Amino acid sequence: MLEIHQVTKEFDQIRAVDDLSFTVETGDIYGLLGPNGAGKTTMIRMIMQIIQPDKGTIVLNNSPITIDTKDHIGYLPEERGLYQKMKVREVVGYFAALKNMEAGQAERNAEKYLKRFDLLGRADDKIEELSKGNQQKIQLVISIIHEPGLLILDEPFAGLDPINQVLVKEVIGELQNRGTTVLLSTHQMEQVERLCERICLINKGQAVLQGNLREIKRNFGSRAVRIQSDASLEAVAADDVFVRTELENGALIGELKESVEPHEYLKRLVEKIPVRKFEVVEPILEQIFVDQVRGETQ
Amino acid sequence: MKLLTVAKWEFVHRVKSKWFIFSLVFPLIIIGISVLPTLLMQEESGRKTFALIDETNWVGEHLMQSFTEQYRMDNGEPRYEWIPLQGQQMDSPAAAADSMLAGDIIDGYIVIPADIRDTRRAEYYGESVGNFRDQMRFSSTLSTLIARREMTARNLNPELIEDLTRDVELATFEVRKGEAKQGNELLAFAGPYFYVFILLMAIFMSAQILMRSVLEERQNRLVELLISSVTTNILMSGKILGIGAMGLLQVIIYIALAQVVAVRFGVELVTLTGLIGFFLYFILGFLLYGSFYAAVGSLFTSEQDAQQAIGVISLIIVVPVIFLPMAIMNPEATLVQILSYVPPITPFFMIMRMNLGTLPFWEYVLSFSILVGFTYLTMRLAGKVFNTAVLMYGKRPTVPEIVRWLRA
Repeated sequence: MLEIHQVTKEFDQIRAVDDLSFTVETGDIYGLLGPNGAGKTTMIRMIMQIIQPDKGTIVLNNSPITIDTKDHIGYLPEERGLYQKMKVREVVGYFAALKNMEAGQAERNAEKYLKRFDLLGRADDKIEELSKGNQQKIQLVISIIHEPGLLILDEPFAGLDPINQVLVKEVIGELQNRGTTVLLSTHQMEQVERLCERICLINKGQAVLQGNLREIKRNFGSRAVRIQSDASLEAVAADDVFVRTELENGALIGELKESVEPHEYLKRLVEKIPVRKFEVVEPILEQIFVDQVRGETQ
Repeated sequence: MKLLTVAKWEFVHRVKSKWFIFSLVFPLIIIGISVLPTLLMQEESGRKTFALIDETNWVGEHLMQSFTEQYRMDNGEPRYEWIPLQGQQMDSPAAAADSMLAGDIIDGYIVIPADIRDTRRAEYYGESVGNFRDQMRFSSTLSTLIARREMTARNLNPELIEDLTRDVELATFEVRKGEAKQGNELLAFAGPYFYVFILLMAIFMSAQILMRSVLEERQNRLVELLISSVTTNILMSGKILGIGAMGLLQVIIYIALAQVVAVRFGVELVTLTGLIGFFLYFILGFLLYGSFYAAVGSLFTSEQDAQQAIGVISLIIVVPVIFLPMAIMNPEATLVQILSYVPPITPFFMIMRMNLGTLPFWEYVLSFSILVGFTYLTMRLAGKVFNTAVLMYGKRPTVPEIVRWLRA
């Protein structure tokens, strides 16, 4: 269990992280969300003890993080680089050794994860011969080679094509099934949507929203409806019951005003057009994110 | 444990690089270029043939006889073969000699003018006038011959003449710890030069590599990943250890190569005390410069900026190079002694002086203690800068900031 308690960090009078608290339960995939410059990377660097917090405590399994406990943490930094002139196998082996892994085990795991990421055939290539996306996958291999209890991924999907994004998501899921706790920082909401049970949304260094993702969505989302009809939906969209609407794949997604209940609106709608499908949908996280951040800014 | 992992990585990483191979081949080329001519000079090729145009009608005969007596090849045969071209029998002996030279029948020819007694001047013609050895022999033999002839003409006793014109052979001895030991004049200079240059090269090359290693990890943003596994202290110490080991391997190879060459020349270059001194000064010198260069590397992200900053420091190389000839002439000079106690140049001056003669024990102890203390201090301060600076991105630290870290 990772506990962040009232952590604050200032750089030149700018509060990068402001009295932030959240808890990542063992076995969770926890999403640390926020726009660029919200303080996500600063928070993660403090967890990794790359920088020290001005105030507050960071505790892993009831004890402070030391250089020895870091052997059980996997870390994919946002700023990424590798030894360009060295071979993939050598670089992976080096970082495994730095995590105090025994050489034989390191070799077996390197094989296993390189294979999982479809890179076993490139094990004897130099890093510089790999594409950027493949280099990023090597960095992921490095962060999980020692099969850590806690895995911290800072923007793991940035720079990957959709196929590799799915691959990374699958691997994160597999790690969770084996009991790995994952802290994931990103601003790509659709990834979080499918992966995380719990999230903390931060803006300007402060938590603006945190907790179980389903509950958050329920609180925000009971007012969104999705309508399908053979009739034109444009007239429906113009109805003044909606706060906003969106046409997507022949369906209308609209957020109802607070005064309008979905089931009452359905009664009125079937009288006007032939409704093929009507459902109350959860809002997408992206919308919540944008609303919250905009609300904060205004 | 992790310290050794970092050290091993740095060592393997560097030794495998093309640069390292080049660094081993490069001195070989330098040695080749500087030693080859000497080798060629020492190695006498086979028999040489010279034509002789003797206008005096007496010197030539003696010259040929003297050469035949003095210079013989390993198999006992005369080294020089002579073709006398007598002036009165030919229209132009010089033309004949020229055509023989062009036809590669002779290596050169000598003209002894009739008035050599007054002018003391003879002429040598050859396709190459660079073979000093032959020319020296001609000139010295001719001088002796003329001198003897003059003395005979003045009715000096032939035995006395023989005695007066004997050649002087110069034997060289080196005096150490009060006992005289026959040595080679090369040794007195080769030793100090060799050790100072190898030490300078090894320390500054390794320190440069260390700095570039730090820069690479900063430029590639690898530091953050490394720091998630090791402390900055271990990272820096591991680098110093690994690259230091590489430098050590490099100098061992250099010294072994030099020893091979030295043995070939019969020069005693590598001695046990010399080696111990060398390795001690290499280790301390590298720790001193290495930690400093690592700290500078941690302050920059561009190699150009770092090189500029380090440029001034590298001028230190010049000091021992400038003073080496002076120190060799006069190792006891006060200035040389004083400079031995200035820590950044202590290694170079002490290695120079210990190879030039015997130093009192207290000088070793004192200079070494000052160097150890200074190196320790430098490492401490460099460590402070490195620890803070290595993770700073975006902006370059200002001087007041660095001062604050040093005080922390």
